[in-house]
Amino acid sequence: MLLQFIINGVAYGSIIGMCAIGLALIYNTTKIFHFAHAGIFTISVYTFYFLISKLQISLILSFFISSLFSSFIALLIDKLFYIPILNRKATSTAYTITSLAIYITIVNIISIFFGNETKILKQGIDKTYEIGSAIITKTQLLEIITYLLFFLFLFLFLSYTKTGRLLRAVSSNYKLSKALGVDIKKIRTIAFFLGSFLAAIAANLNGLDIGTDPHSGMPIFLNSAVAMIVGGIGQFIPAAISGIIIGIIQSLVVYKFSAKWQMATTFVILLIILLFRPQGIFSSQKRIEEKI
Amino acid sequence: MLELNEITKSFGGIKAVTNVSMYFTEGKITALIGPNGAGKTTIFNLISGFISPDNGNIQYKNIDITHLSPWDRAKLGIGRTFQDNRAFSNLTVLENVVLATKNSWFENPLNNIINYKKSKLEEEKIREIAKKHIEFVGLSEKIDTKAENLSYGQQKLLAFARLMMNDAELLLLDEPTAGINPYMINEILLLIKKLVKEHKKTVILIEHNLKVVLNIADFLYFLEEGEVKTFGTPSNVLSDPLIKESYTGL
Amino acid sequence: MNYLIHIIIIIQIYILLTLSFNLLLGYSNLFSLAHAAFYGLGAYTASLLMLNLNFNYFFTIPIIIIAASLFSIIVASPSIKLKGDYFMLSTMAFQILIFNIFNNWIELTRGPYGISGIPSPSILGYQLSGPYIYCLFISIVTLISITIFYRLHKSLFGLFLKSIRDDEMLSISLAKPTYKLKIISFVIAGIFASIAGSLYATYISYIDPTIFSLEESVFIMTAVVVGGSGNLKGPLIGTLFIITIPEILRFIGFPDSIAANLRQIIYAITLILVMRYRPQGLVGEYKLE
Repeated sequence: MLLQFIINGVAYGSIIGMCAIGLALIYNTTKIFHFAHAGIFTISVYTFYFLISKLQISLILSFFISSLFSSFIALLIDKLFYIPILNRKATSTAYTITSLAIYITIVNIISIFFGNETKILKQGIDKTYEIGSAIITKTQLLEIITYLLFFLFLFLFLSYTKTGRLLRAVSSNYKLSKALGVDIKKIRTIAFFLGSFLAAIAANLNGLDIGTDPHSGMPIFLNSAVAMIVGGIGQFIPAAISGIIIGIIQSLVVYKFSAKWQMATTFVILLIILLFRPQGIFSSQKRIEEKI
Repeated sequence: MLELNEITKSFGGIKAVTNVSMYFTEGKITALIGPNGAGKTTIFNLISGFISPDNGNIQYKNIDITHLSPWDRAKLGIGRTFQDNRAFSNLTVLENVVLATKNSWFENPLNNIINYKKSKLEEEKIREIAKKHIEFVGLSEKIDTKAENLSYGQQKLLAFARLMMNDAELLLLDEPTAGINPYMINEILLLIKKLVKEHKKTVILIEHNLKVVLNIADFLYFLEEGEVKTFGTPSNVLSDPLIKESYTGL
Repeated sequence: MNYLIHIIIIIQIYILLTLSFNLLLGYSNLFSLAHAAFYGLGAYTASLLMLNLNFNYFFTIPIIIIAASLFSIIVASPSIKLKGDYFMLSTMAFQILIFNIFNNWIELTRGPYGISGIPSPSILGYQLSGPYIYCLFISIVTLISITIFYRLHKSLFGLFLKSIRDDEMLSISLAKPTYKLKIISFVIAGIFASIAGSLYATYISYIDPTIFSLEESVFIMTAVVVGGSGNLKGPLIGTLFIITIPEILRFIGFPDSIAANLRQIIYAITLILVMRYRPQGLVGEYKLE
């Protein structure tokens, strides 16, 4: 029984982990607390649903078209809404409000067109594999494999490519990077695109696994935001790992108590981290934060 | 008045200030000079309490203030200005000065709500004092102007008025003449002298302009790489060959 | 006519919520997403005391004030040490935790079923029920509250808070105990939001957790940001805006199925436009830049 819950946790954690890296890419380079990330998630899975069920386009093709489409929407959001207030030297509050409002708009538009009921994307019954006494579905397996592939890709990308190194540079010191002439605009575009693409892939996989409704993006977004903070701001890989940890914890809460305490658990974790270890659990060095 | 004893402070392994001891006399103007990164602003932050030292202690009027919070130190009469010229930009000149009052009666909201009449009377008194300070620094014409609409130099004058309202006895002035025109510099120097002579203030200032230093300072500390290299009266310190080397411009 | 009275009562409940939220956002620069938690705290405290322990409404008020103060200190004292996004996240965490308690502690709160049959307040055996009487009662409460917020706005206490908002460092250097002042403003805001909750519960006579969710916190924030913060006009105008929009939509005759969504979209787009073109809101004083 326990093994089954851990498998479910790892699969759910893979979804959270992918969203968390996506969010980290965006937050670290722009410092925008991007609530609209949850909206991108929802746009992708609903586009996916629309393409396969209404336009009868093949699953694989729909999967990628919807991911790319929603990533472009994210770029558009940045260009139309964030960049203009960036030019006004907005504070984090202005971004948060704008981003929340974008999220609300997206969810309500989707709700008008598709209704509030859960949509099933899965066609037929999933194949399952046995692991000891537990089973894992094909979609769950796909989630974990995709996560691992992205993990590997991201690690190589950040460590060995010039763009990846620039991304890390901008994340750790924005002002210095700008002063050194890093093309911030380009890095920003890459971060938004790649970050949203990751969320979109996660959204589509999650949709295949358990279906979707207009509000399904928010809990996953909140979990991934917590994963990002648990991992430590300015980091990428720790966010991905924390995602898995949070997935497993969530699943164990269902096993031990009840599904209704899942969200509360996530936020208890967040509070503990914020109050006692705001630099995250993977960061050994305490951030130098003088009061000035 | 103020003593720093063997103060050391490092940020993330890099020493900003090493084993610094200083002594500041009441009623005098002391200047801290030295190249950028010498640790001058760090010393201001240590004195005003925005950062605390790794080692050493700070005595103010024979009280150990090393571990006091910045607002407690401000209560004791340590006031400061900032290099980047801060002001409450959405508030008017008068409001900027009024709120610097030391009267803590207003910090209890119930006093303001229940005893509204009394609070208004008290406030009127404070307002009158504030107006005097504003007149003293020469900003009377701008009294209802929002701080964000003042010129750079006027914001520096505003900072003086706030410190006077705050009853600060020890004034830490971080580059009081930087970025303003020569006419205004003279005005500010006169103001500082007047503050010391007429209002019995003690002044410590960070200054890059050596002409200014020669004009008003009674005593100098020359810092480099977080250490006190030499100190003494301006004429003594500035005749030191080491200093001449650093300030070839003079 | 009764319908109009109903709207006036609801507007007044929201005036308490927005004026208190304004004290946080427009004076102390605290962007809290926990305001609905306090709203709910007051509503549940009043309802449970009245139904389970037969309390008179007016005797629940001191208990609500104590509970709201304690909870404010619990939320604020750690959160205020965090800056910007982290403060917002911390308050959001408390909001979600409280919602979960309302929703999941079924033995106490009856969870999603909600609590019904909450009695109206009564003075000396006289029930303040019926729209007119209740409206009169709530108007008195609102008037007192507006006076209190007006005095805070005009007083040096308000000016001290604004100094924190504009430049906290500078404020500290002028001997202002900014941490303490922020906690106090959080406590005042929490108390008024809780009282608003108790009024809502005794007026509608039914509450459930969804009324006090994160969405509600966002809703209150919307009113203050759109109307503007840092003075009293802003929240008042903002409240009128958010309460009358749905009525106008109803008047135009949109189908009910999409009216709720449309309302949300209108609020959200207004927020986006305000942030972009008018960061001080319609008539506010403080620019949310």
